[in-house]
Parts: sequence; C-alpha cells; structure tokens
Amino acid sequence: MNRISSKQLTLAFIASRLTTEMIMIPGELIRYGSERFVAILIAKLSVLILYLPLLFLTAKFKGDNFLTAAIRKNRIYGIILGVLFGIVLLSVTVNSVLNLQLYITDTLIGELLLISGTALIIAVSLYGAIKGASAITRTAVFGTAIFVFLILMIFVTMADKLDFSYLYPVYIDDSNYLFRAVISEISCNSEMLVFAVLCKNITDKPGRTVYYSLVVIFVVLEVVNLLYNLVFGPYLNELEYPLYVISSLSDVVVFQRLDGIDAIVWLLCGIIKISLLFASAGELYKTSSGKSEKGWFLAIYGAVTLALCMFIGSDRRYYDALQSILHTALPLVFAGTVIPLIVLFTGKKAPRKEKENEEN
Amino acid sequence: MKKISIAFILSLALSVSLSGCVRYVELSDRAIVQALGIDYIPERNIYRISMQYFSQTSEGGQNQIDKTQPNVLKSVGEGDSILTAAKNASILSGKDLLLSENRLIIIGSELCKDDLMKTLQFFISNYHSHPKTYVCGAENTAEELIDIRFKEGYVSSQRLINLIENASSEGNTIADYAYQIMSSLCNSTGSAYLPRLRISEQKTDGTVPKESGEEQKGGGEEQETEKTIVLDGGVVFSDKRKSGIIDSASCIGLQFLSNRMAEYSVTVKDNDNRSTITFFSVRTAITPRFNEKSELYFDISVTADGRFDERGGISETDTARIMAVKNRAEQEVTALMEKAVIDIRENCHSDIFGLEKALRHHYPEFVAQNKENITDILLSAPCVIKVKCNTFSLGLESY
Repeated sequence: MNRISSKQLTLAFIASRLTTEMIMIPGELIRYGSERFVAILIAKLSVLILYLPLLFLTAKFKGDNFLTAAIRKNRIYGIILGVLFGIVLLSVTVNSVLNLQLYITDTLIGELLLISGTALIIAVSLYGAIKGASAITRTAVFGTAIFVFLILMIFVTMADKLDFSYLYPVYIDDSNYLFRAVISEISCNSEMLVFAVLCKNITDKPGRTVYYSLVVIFVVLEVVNLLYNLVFGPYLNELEYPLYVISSLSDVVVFQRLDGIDAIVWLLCGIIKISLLFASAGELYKTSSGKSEKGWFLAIYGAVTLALCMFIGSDRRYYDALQSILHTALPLVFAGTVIPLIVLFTGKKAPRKEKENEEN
Repeated sequence: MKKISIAFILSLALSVSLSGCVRYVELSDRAIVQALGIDYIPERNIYRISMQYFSQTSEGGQNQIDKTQPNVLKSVGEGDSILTAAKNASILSGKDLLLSENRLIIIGSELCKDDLMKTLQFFISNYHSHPKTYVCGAENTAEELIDIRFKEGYVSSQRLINLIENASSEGNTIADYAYQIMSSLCNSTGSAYLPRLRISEQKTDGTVPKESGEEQKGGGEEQETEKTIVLDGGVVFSDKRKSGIIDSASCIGLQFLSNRMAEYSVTVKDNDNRSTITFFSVRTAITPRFNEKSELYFDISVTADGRFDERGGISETDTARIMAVKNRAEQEVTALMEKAVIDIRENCHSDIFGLEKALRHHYPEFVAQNKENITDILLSAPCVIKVKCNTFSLGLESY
C-alpha cells in the first residue's frame, strides 16, 4: 500500500489550496474590503464542521475509507456511492485542468492549443498518480516550500508599495457578496475529496492533516488577502490574477520580475493538485474492484477527463455552467460530507481477523 | 541509474521536439517597445498609437547599442480601438510588439477627455506589459513628444523616465505606475493625477554642460533652438476624465497632501538675508473629524524635520529669529497646500489626496451609509491644514 504521513499530505493540501487561490478562484470573488477576511474565517470554520463526518468515519473505521466501509456492508451499495463520489471527483478534476490551461494561456503561453495544453497537464498529472500518493506528497513538500518562500519574497520586495491606509476596521458593507464569498471559499476545498479517499493511506492520525492544513491555509490566505488589499486597494475588484500582478511588480536584485518563476511554481502546484485528484480516482477503482493494478483504469480515466475538457472547453457557456455548479459548494458537500455521513451510520467495520491480516 | 538515464534522454528529446509545437518569434523580429503615445483624433473618431521601439542596429553605430544614437525607431498605427491601433502599428513596423519592456505611456490631451480607465485597461489586462510603466499626460498630442529623440541613455525614452523619476524625488511631481493610477481611479470620485509633459524650445541643450573656454557656436550669432521635453504641472482627472490642469506650485502642494513629499526646501527672506529651510522626513496625516454640529471636516496635519541649509546670518542662539523663519516657512507650505486643495478639489472636483481612503479608514460605516452622495461630501467638507516643522541646527538644538 502507498503509505503517506499526515504532514506530507498537509503540505500537499496547502499547495493544492494555494493553487486554487492563485489560479482557479474567479477574480470577481476576490474583492477589496473586510468582507473577504471574514469570509475566509467563516469558510474555514464551516469546512471544519463539514469535515466532521469524515473525521468520525476515520476514527470509527480505522485504516479504511468510506468506500471500503460501504462495500463491506454491500458491494452494490458501495459501488453506487463510489460512482456518485467519482462523478463529483471527475467534475472537480475537469474544472481544475481547464482552469490551469486557461491560466497558462492567459499568462505564460498565449497561443497554446486547448488540446495540447490539457493533454500535457493530464499526462504529467497521470504520471504522478501512477507513481502513487506517496510520490505526489513528497513532491508537494518541495513545491509548497518554494511556494511559501516566494510569497515571503514578494512580501519583502513589495514592502515599499504597501499602503496601510487602504485598511479599515471590519465592517460588512455587502452581505450578499460576503455570502457568495463564503460559499465560494467552501467550494474551493476539494482537498476534502482527496482526504475522503486517501485517509486510509495515512500512517499516523489522519485527523492531523485536516487540523494542520485548515489552520495553515487559513493563515496563508488571510496574509495573501492582506497583501492584495494593501497593494491594490479598490483596484483589486478589477483584477483576475492579483498575485500574478503583484509578483510581476516585485524585483529581486538580479531578477526584474518574479512573475515567470512564480507562474511556473504555481503550475507545479496545480499539477500536484490534479495528480492528487487522479490518485484518489485510482484508489476508488482499486477499492471497488479489489484489483491492485490501476494503470489501465487511470489511462482510461485520463482519456475521459481529456474528452470532457475538450467538450466543456469548446464553449465558454459549458465552462461557466460547470464553474457555477461547483461554486455552489453543493457537489463538495454532497461528496465530502453527505456520503461519509451516510457511510458513518451504514458502513460496516472490518472483522478483527481481517483487520489483523491487513495490518500484517 | 538506468531509469535516470532514460528520464534524462526523454526530457532532452521532449525539450528539443516540443519547442516546435509552440509558435515563437525570433528576438530580431520583435519590436521591443520602449515608450508609446496614444492619441484620439476626434475629427476621424479613431485612436492613434505611436511607439518608440528599440532599434537593434542603430544608424552610425557598429555595436548593437550605440550610446551616441537614440537607438530607437518609431511606428504608428490607427484604429477604432487601442488594440486595433496597436495591431496596425505592429503591421507597419513588420515586427511583433513586445510590451514587456515598455516603461512609459503618454496620453494625448484629447484622449485625456475620455475614460482613462478604459484607455489603460488594454495595458493592464495584457499580462506581458511591464507593470512598472509610468503614465503621463501630454500638453497636445502624445505623438509630438514621441517624435523627439534624445541621445542620453541607452535608448531615447530613458531620458524621459529619468526626468519623471528625478522630478518625483525632488518633490515636483507624483510619478505613479499604471496600476497605481488604476487604484486611484477605482475610488468613488474616479480621481487620478498624471504629470504633464510639454515641448519646450531651448537655445542650448541644457542637459549638456559646455566645455570651459569653448567658443560659442556661430561666432556670436544666435544659437539654434532645440526642442526638448519638460514637465509642466499635471493633469487632474475626476469621474475618470480630465477635469483640469494644475500648475507646478499646486503639484508641490499635492505632494505634501498625498504624503509623497520626501524633501522640500523653502527660502525665507528676512530683510536682506535669505534663509533656506529644508523639510525632510515629511509625514502627512489626514484625519476626518466631526465638529459640534456633526459636520465632517478633514484635519490635515503635516509634520516634518527641518534643517537650515542657509542660515542667512542667523546665529544658532537667536531663537526668536529662528522661530520667525520657521513660522514663515510653515506658512509658505500651508499656502501651497491650500492652493492645491482649491485647484484640485474645488476647481477640478477631484480627490487625489486620498480623502475617501482616510474617511473609509476611520469611518467605514459612514462611507457605506452615504454611498450615493459620498463624492459631494468629500468635495465639500472643509480641510483644516496644519504644518509643523521641527527645525534644528547642526542636530544639536531642536525647537
């Protein structure tokens, strides 16, 4: 089995969530003012509550994920839940690939074909998934370290451009936006889906991954949001990729602009995120089929993802529809909270003998 | 080891073969834009872009960069929008435009009457544009300024950038990057300020010192005039459009009001003596307050350290005279700031000092409750200006 430590997975989750912040969250939801600071806080508390069924599930079915517990109860029942979960996982993967592709064409390579961009992203991510969760999380340690280092570097180099008079006491002026921002922030926690599947691979206490990642991500997001507000003020409302613009403003002695290197690191973290989603899909297949080989499944799954990306990416309306569905947070709540909650009450524990055999 | 070798060979093969999958432009086929001017021609309802781009092999030079030459070429394009005008300029030059090195955008006077945010949007939304691009207004057309070539610096536009940066550090103008102007325009009053450039005819090139003993060219005849570019006040925007022009004195007042003044010298005449006090470490605080009648006013206080650069015959122990000179200097700065408030806020209906920012910083609920008429409130609330300079002599005494 591909074993991972909770700390490694925490770092992978941080890389994954930060990528969402830099690349995938719609620009219109990052606005100037105190609302987003509050939205991040409320969203993180809400996500902690949404994680509770998963945390209870990992405590009750030690060493199992929701699918194992459901299949043990009834195979068909388990597969139905797995398919429903898989649909949400697939839609999140397609959305992530398209967002990453859009980001590359917006900032790095303007004339990249949709098919070559998405195919490359999927191929690299699949390679990571085939190598296993352990390989992905080890890469994530490296990616996250550089990511956080670059954010610190940006903060230092932008020190003279920070305008603290842009800040004002917490005052909720637009409650409608606050609500949308909270929902959007919740929807950006697709790591919950990864945790639901890969929790069985964690060697130590799986709950630590949730607690550590939520706290660190909360702090980093608030700091990055503070940076946005201090640099741009009300102009933040007009920007699509604010941190990219900030990084293009930062100069470090020899390097005139940090946007190129930043974009590449974010791209790496985006690949880590998609690899984790693919690895989760592979793990779902392994659990439901009982087979240890997942290479062929991942190849087909990758081809399906590519086909869906081609279809949804062919028309802006399809892409917007997918975005608007995912940004309601309902798919995430369904797959990350409702399904584990159902399994929590209906799942079956492994008999002691079977458990001991697995452990041996 | 075998795996590493395969991975290395594979990555090498991919990097060689995949480069053909992306369209690329050779550096020699790129027009590396150094400065550009945008004009609007109302008679024909079109935009006209003129750009100076880097000439890789300048005339008369053997090296790629010949410092005795302007090293730039010019290309012009017209179109219904700024984007089409830029594309047409690219067609004319026969080169692919590269905006990542552009450091200066000059906006023509006609275009200043249009929505500045829309004008700058093209450059801001183009992620390859250099974010640290200065934006200036032109007295007439931007193109006439782009036409003037300087031989200083490695390219012609370098001289203009130096002019703007130097004027900013000397406290004569505010030099903002495009994103800072956009931030300013996003306030409810849609206010912004651009340094104003104009052509000046000078008899000699003032930037080149004469060699000692050199005879005047033409043996006493009148010297040829030479066109140069000078900074002359600023263009003020309100509701994202040009609302007026301010002179150099108001620009200095504006520097103080917007907490951007680094250093400023005031000369005070006392009988036949002239004393010069230099204000440094200038800090401006704008605090909104409400009087007894609950009416809003802005308390603008400037504090600075001061140093006597010219004593004008005042001895170090003559406290009374030092205080008198200091008070006169403070009054002069106060007068400059009051003039700026009148010129910018009352005549141009613009808030480029950050009154809204200060109000939101202290009373966000007041701003939210008066969202509909916040512009009127900001433009009508009285400003009470206080200047306090702590002078000291040789760093030993402080008053």
